[in-house]
Amino acid sequence: MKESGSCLRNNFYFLHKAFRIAPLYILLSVGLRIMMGLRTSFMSVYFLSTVISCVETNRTLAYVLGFVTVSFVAVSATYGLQAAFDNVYKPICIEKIEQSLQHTIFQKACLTDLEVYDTEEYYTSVILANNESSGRVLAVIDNLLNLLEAVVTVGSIIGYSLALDGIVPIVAVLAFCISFFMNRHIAGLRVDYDNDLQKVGKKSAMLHRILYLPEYAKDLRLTGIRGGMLRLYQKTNEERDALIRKKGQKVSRLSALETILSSSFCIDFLVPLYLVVRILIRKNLMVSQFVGIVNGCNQLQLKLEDVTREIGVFYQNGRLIERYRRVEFRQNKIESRVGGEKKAKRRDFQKLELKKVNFQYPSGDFGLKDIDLTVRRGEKIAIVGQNGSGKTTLIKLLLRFYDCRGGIYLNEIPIREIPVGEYRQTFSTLFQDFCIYAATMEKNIAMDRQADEARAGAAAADVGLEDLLPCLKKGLTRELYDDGLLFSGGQLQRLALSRVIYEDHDVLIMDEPTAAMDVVFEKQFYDMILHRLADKTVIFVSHRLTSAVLCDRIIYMENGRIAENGSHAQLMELNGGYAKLFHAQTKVLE
Amino acid sequence: MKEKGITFIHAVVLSLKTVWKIDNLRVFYEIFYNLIKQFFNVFYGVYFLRTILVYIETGREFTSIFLLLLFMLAVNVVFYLVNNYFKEVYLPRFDIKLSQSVYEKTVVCASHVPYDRYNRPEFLDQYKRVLDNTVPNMQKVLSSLGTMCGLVLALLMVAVYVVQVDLFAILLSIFPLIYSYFISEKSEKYQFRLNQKITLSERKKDYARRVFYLPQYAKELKMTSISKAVEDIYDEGASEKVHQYKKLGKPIAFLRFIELCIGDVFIIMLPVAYVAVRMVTGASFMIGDFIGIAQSITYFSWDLEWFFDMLTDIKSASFYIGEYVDYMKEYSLDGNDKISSGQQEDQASPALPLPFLLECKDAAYAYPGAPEGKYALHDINLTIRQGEKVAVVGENGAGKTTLVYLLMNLLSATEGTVRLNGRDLNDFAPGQLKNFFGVLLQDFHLYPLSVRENICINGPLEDAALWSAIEKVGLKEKIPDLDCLFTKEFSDDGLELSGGQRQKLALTRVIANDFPFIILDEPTSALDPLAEQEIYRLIFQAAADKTLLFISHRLSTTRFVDRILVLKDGAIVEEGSHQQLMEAKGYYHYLYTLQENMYKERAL
Repeated sequence: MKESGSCLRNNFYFLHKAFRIAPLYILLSVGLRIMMGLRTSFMSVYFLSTVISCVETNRTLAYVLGFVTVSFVAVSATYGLQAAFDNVYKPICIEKIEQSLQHTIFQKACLTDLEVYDTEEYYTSVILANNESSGRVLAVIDNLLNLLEAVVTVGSIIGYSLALDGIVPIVAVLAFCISFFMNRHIAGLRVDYDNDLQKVGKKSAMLHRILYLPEYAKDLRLTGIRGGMLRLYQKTNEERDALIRKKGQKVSRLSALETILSSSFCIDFLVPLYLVVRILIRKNLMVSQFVGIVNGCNQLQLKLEDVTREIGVFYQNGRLIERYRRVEFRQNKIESRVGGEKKAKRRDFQKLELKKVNFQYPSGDFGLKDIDLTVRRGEKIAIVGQNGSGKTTLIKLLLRFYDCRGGIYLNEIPIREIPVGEYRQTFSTLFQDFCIYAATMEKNIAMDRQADEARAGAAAADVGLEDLLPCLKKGLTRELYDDGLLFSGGQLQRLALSRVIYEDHDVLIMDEPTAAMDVVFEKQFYDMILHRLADKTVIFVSHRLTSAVLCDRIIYMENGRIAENGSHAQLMELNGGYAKLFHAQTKVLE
Repeated sequence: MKEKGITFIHAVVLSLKTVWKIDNLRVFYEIFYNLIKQFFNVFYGVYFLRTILVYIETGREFTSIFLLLLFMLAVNVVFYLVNNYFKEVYLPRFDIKLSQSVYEKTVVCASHVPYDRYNRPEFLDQYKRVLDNTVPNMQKVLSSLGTMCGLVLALLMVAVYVVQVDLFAILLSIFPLIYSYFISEKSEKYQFRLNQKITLSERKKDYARRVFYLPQYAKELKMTSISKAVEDIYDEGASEKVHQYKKLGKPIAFLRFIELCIGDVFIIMLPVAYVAVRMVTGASFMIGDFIGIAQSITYFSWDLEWFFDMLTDIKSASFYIGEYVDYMKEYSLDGNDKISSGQQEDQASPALPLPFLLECKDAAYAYPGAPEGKYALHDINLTIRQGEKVAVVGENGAGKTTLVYLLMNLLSATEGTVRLNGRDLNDFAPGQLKNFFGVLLQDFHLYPLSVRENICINGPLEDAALWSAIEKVGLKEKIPDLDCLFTKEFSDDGLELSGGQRQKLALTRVIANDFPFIILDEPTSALDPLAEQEIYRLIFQAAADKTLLFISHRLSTTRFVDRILVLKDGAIVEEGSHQQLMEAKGYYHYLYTLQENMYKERAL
């Protein structure tokens, strides 16, 4: 019972959302569906039985023709309305509802803490909520409307028979109750069953996904990886088979029982039998009425099937919405506003201080210990260290992707007291795994919906993309544009750098910017940074120690701590971990 | 291969054959199920009610009606019990078998697809369609055929009755059908146009949605305002769609209206009116026949329409199945494709004669779709002897990776030849070179399989050998056991490794297996300097008695190889040992000193 309550609540929660966006659409749909429900009972019951009674009572030809013509016109008119509504008005309204919901979800995605992406929850709930919710709202609306239509049909048929007979409606209601309660039970079973199937299905979906990867295509030709993949696929199928054998049988028996009791026994057996008794033995029913009731019952049976299906969908929607709400109402610890949404006036950057910073990932993996660090305006700092020494984690804390113990202060203000969007305005970042977007080149530079063309052009020219200046308004990638620009690896790197120049924030953070660069471009890259961005504060994270050499200060990290801190010359003299790294890189094989 | 599309019959035969091979019961079930279903349909709709009415009108005894009802109940009980079992248990299980059979065939074929096809969007689209659509469409063909069997029975049953009572009624049911055929053809045309117009809009919406849920975009969404631009892409798609609905929705609505009028109003109401008019004007039917005739006309129209719908369904399904057939024909082993000619795949490849010699002669490669005369590689003349250590250097885009692909026969030279021991690489069977090249590419992929399966890519290896390779690359503490999976997708116990660790693990593949020729494409790009040094030491140790070829941006690694190939703009511009090239003071010398100088401190 408790579960039904939450299902009901969840479904109406979504309906309410849709109603707020398009109230007229919902109201009109309700009206139309009531009309359609009545039409069904009119055509299947009332029309036939009236015509037969005309024959039985020997009405005139004109009367029959008149009745038929009026019915024709009326029914056709309802179809006209339905066609116009379904093919023009409905898709447009649905598009609007979907759009409005999707924007909410987009905003939500920007406000999701980064740590959510680290867990399994991400794969299930977040993707589901983001990817499916708009479709779900439409499913909820359709489901509720279908139920409404079925109820109107069932109600009007029962009403009709009630006028002629008291017993048949009772049998019909009985059939309906049997069907309703059994189906609710079956739907519950099915949801569990579907969940299990989905869990297994996730594996096959993943296997399918891999098939499209070009990397896989290469391995397929060079190695025997296919065997492993096929084995996993077979194993997945066996799991699924076992599940079907276990749970499918129960569902099949119950649903068979339901059909037999409600439709075969009540509607197809009891009702005609009872009516025959009334005609033959008690002789108080007309043949036309008999036909009307029997036909009505057949229609009832069809509608019961609809109701059955829709109730299953109703429950399934309820459960899935539950997951959606969990994501929607998730409290985010850090994110409070879309990054850089408000161009609030930026404070001039003076310094950034880390005092006794300690951090551990929620998963319990390693973290940082006792970090004390001050970054002053205009400094060039390199953070170096072995894989896993905590460099990237430190950057994530600086950008406030995670919160930590201890304090981080921007211009002596604790960063938790600054709105996170505003705080991040201090930084421009160049990630090694930067993304490009299927938007125009200038938007890709500006990273915003509006690009200042002159500045975007200047930024592109600064990084050596002058040749592409005429293409600023052209789209990138072939994803959405048939003639989209395709950039080479080097051009992409330049594009990423131009973003930083365009953005013109005070502190630049470069996370492994040169890992995939060749020597010639690496040299140009440093030259660009030194000349174009000389007045900026720059923090490099890199395995390429070429960046360290040109920095004022080098932070050498080891096991989550800052082990050494000083200039290249100082650290080389110290002959510690940094010197070891440096020697290793300059003389790899000696 | 060029003969595009297959006939309708061919698709039907292929689907039936596939299903029959897996389980012939499935075919029988489909036929019997539909026969019984349609029998019930017509029986209840036309005969049952009519019979009862006739019984009533002719004053038959109550018991005979009761027995008829009871008999029908019994038939129902048996039918539903059996049928539900089939529907809930047998069919899903069968579907798994069918998917598996098609999946396996498709995947096996995928290994024979020339690699460069993966750079062509047309191929990728076809491949995706084959994977996604083949099974559902085979199921569709089967169920449509079954339904058609049932419908033939239904039409016969109705016809037998109508012929006895009122032949003219049949004409009444055929008339709306012809009319609706033309309308639906027209409306389909509009629908098709609408769908085409909104495909791009849908793609825009999907793209925007993806940006917001894929983790790789998360950081930038938080750091920049790009989310606005992506939302705009979504809105663009949405408003384009609305525009199209406004434009094309109206004619579609009108045609749909006509269709509904014919389909429902005419087919249901007209027959009733017809019989009523006949009876009022003096025809002597019984009320039972009134119902019988009216229902017959309705059923006949419906079933006939349904029958033709099924034909259309099979036609559209046969298009998808045709694609599957084309795909299989093109890439299966008995096809004529040049890469796939050769022996059976997966056969233990015969040991290659040692010592081997790999040579390129005037080899060139142009990517498909590249402008005329634009080569990624050209004039490559090269000989690699067994045991040599070769390094390939050059700027980004110089053609280093393409060269490696050519040597491994991932791409086949568009001009000139690449030969192994005098035999063109294209003449080797697909699986034959599998144990020859040990490869670590830049875009290597670790599969969501177990650690063991990720390393033992060429058949099982001893646990001890695996552990020793894992230990060598320094991952022993990170891996709890060899059977843990490489993804967190299914459970939180899955392994999650950093970029550097993943690179090391991929390297264990090369170290643990015994490959004669090792090829590495920037094997240490994600590693710190100490790990890099260690890995190079390992590589040189593992490759001591093997042939080694690697691409590297770290020029200090190239000092100890036998030969360095310097690539520029798709051609080998210099070739020789480090010493020779430095003395030549050419391009290599320039690159080398450039890099060396960057490590020298300079004033800011």
